[in-house]
Amino acid sequence: MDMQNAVNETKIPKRVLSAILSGMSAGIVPRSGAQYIAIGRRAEIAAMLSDLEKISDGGGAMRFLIGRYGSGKTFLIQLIRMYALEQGFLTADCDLSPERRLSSSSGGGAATYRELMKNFASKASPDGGALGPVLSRWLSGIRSDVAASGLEPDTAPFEDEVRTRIYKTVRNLEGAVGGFDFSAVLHAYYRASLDGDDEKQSAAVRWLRGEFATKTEARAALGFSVGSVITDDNWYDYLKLMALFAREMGYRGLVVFIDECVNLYKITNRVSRESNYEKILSMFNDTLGGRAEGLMIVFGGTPQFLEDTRRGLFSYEALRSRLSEGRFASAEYTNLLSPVISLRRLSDDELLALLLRITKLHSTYYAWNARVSDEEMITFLKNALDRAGGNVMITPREIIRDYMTVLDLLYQNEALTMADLCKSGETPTASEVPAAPEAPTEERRKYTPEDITF
Amino acid sequence: MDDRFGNDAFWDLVPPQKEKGETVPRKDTSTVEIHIGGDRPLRKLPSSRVFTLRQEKESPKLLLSYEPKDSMLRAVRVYAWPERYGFYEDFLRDAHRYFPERGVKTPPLPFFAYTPQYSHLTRAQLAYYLYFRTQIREEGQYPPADFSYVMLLIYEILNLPDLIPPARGAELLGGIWYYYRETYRQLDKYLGEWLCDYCLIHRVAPPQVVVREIVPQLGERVALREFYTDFEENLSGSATAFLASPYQYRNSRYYKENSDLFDRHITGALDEAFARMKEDGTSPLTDFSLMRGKITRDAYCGAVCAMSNKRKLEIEYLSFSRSPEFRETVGLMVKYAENRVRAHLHIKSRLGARGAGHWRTYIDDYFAKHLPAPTASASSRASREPVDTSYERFYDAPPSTLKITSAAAIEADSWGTTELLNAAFDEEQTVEIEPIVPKKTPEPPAPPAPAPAEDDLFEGRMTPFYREALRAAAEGRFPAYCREASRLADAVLDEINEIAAETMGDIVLDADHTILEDYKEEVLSWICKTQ
Repeated sequence: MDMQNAVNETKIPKRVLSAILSGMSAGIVPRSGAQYIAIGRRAEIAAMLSDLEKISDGGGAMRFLIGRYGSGKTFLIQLIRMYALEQGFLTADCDLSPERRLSSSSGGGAATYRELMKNFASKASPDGGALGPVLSRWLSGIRSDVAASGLEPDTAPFEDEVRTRIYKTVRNLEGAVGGFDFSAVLHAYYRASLDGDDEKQSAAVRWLRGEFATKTEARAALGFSVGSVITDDNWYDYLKLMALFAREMGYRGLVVFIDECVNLYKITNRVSRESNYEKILSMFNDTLGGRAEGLMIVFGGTPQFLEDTRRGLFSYEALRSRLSEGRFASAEYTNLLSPVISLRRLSDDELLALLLRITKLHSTYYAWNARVSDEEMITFLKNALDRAGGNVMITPREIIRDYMTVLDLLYQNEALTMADLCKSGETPTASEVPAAPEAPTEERRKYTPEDITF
Repeated sequence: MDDRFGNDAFWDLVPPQKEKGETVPRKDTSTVEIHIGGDRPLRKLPSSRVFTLRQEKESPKLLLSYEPKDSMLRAVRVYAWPERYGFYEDFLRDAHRYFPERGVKTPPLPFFAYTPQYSHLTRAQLAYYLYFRTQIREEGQYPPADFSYVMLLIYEILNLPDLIPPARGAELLGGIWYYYRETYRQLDKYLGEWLCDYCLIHRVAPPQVVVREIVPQLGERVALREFYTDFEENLSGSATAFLASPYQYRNSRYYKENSDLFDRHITGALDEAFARMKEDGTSPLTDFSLMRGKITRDAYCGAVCAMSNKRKLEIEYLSFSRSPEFRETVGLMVKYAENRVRAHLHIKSRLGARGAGHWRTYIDDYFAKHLPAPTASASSRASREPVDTSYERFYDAPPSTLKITSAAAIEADSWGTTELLNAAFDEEQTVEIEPIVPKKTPEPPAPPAPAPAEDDLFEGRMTPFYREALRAAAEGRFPAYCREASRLADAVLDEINEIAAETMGDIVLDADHTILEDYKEEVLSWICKTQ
């Protein structure tokens, strides 16, 4: 069949290409270059990019990425996360678990906050741990600006002007809930940086990361009293403050990714589960009601987490009325203006397109012509999908990992063909399994030690 | 003189001193009248100039003594206030003066005073106060008002038992408490004590609205809880549960959403259990014999109260707090009843409620009649009911034919997505690739693309300062180098990593200010090249 495709020339940094192939071989989302293996999902990605524009303008946004296991939720989250970092946003992400929740009376909420702060990332620290560097850079930026205005560094007028600019920034935070303590700790960080007091600096960062359990502990470390520490009750207020502060520092906003929300669905106690849903509702109202400036929150979860009317979000009426699509929704038309992005499974053609892409990337990186014909590719995919239970259970991750292994083997063994590999990796169907040989009727020979030779 | 043994008196001691306790004054201290200046009598000082150096306390005068019926209070004695003071006499006078006044509708005005009195009110505030008081006294309405207006009215009621019949006064106090306690929670602390004093002094029963609606929520916030509960014949489950139990079920985490069930069935179960225990003679009251207590309390402590209305009370009562076995039993009963309510609500967690007693059977009987626990079949039936999973169709893959042409079209189209995302990424120093265009015959292999000069690009953006910083990082002195240059180490690290991410697609410095192992060789060779 003739193809009618525009020829696109796309350039990929070699290191990025290496990272893509390594990631796919390991079955993980590559840390960089995920955009080169983004097949389909154009509308979903465009919807989320428009959300980023919205928070860049000072608004708030919230999305629910809902899809079955293997539908690509985590891939999409990583993709948007890396895009956001490159665009000048700060990001934070965490996976919920039985120990990490949104609402808890036993430290589960604060644990979520600590995990988010541990994975706090910037463009220069994409793997997390960016809180310290971001603060340092902010202070350093202020000092550079003041120096550029003509004041001599390390003089009294210079330090006064630096202090004034810092106070101006943090004063804007004092109006928010928890803002006084937040700005007091930032002051402490600045003073400690001036004095070269690493211990106090570290204590300030620890407070911002929610690592103090009590005010007494915080006071002992910081050297002054704080009105509060970050707890189950107020961690979300401090997340909003962090978004506000990110914008004050010159970043475009804060994007928070909370995955594995199915762990909330699994909470057996109804009261606890609903208090977590109430927290989601509160976040929803804040972000979409303009009370969370510069903050975008993305929840990742399964369809049951969202739509189960007994235990999912739809069991909570206030969320159901806000999130359900109503009677006009259908599998054919999806509404991407709604907060919920439903990720259907990749179609077979989309999976095949992914294999085509991987083949090209592999060929380019290793500078060889992959010995895989179109028909062989289709056969490989059919085998993967037709494996016992494969049509339901297999995920793109597993298909990609297996295909990468095939390409690596073909690359390293010139005589090997795709047909050989497909045959060796194939699970025979019941009709193809030869019947077990009949047990011999003659008496078994008795072996003696003399029969064994070394 | 010698004694009979022939010893002389040389060694005789003087007579012994008086016993301890007996003091023998050395001087004569009897009063002697003397006259100074002839027969002219001494000028009498006006009484206001006479100061008694030490005022002797008078014994309080007993005004009333009685034994309440059907109450846990066994004896009450009311005494007049033993000390004289006059600083609320003006208040009392004003209260009498304004008592007959009626107010007309007036817009509310703010008013604040720590101990509100009439003299603190402006004319306009007084007008609103009179309207507010009229609404409550005559209309039974409770308009919004600042806390100080409410307290002023309470003080007025306490100080005018001669003008407001005590039964009516108690009713007014109960109404004020009930309607304003949601807004002013501190009323519990004040009226919990003052209403008790008022009723005991004037021998009136507490208002039913207080007993029914407020007492169940008071818990241990009142000093004399026993005042608010009827005794034996009418020992109610609700009052006992709230006042005697060390465990307050209203503090349960499940109460808020199931308050109706909790209130109705826990108190109901206790009522029935007490009634049946009394019938069979196993009442906890007879079993454990509530201990007697005796307290003396100052009435209206903290209130604006004229001396003529101030009282001292002596109360003997059967004490909950001094009867630990009784309290423990009631606590277990409340917990046991709550466990039954939780079972009905399918809440798995249970309170510890171990202990022997007939009350378990009585509570079980109550719940069997009024709130049976769900049977196993009912609960499994509920779990077997099919859940609507029609939403799953939205998550299925769309039908497709698995054709290479369709796949190639999708793959080609996906480059658009890549371009959309690449807007932020650095596109220099890349390897060109072509999109997949499926052909019938395989093409000859494409020549390998030329290696990009990535190091040059990174090097091109490295200033001398950054170069030296990288050298310092290799030598393990990155923080010291930055400090010498008056720069924050984390900020410099951030800047270098950002450049590396843009030019090389990856960071080169780790969070501990060292060069990442993957790039150590490259960076070091580059540093050596530039030396």
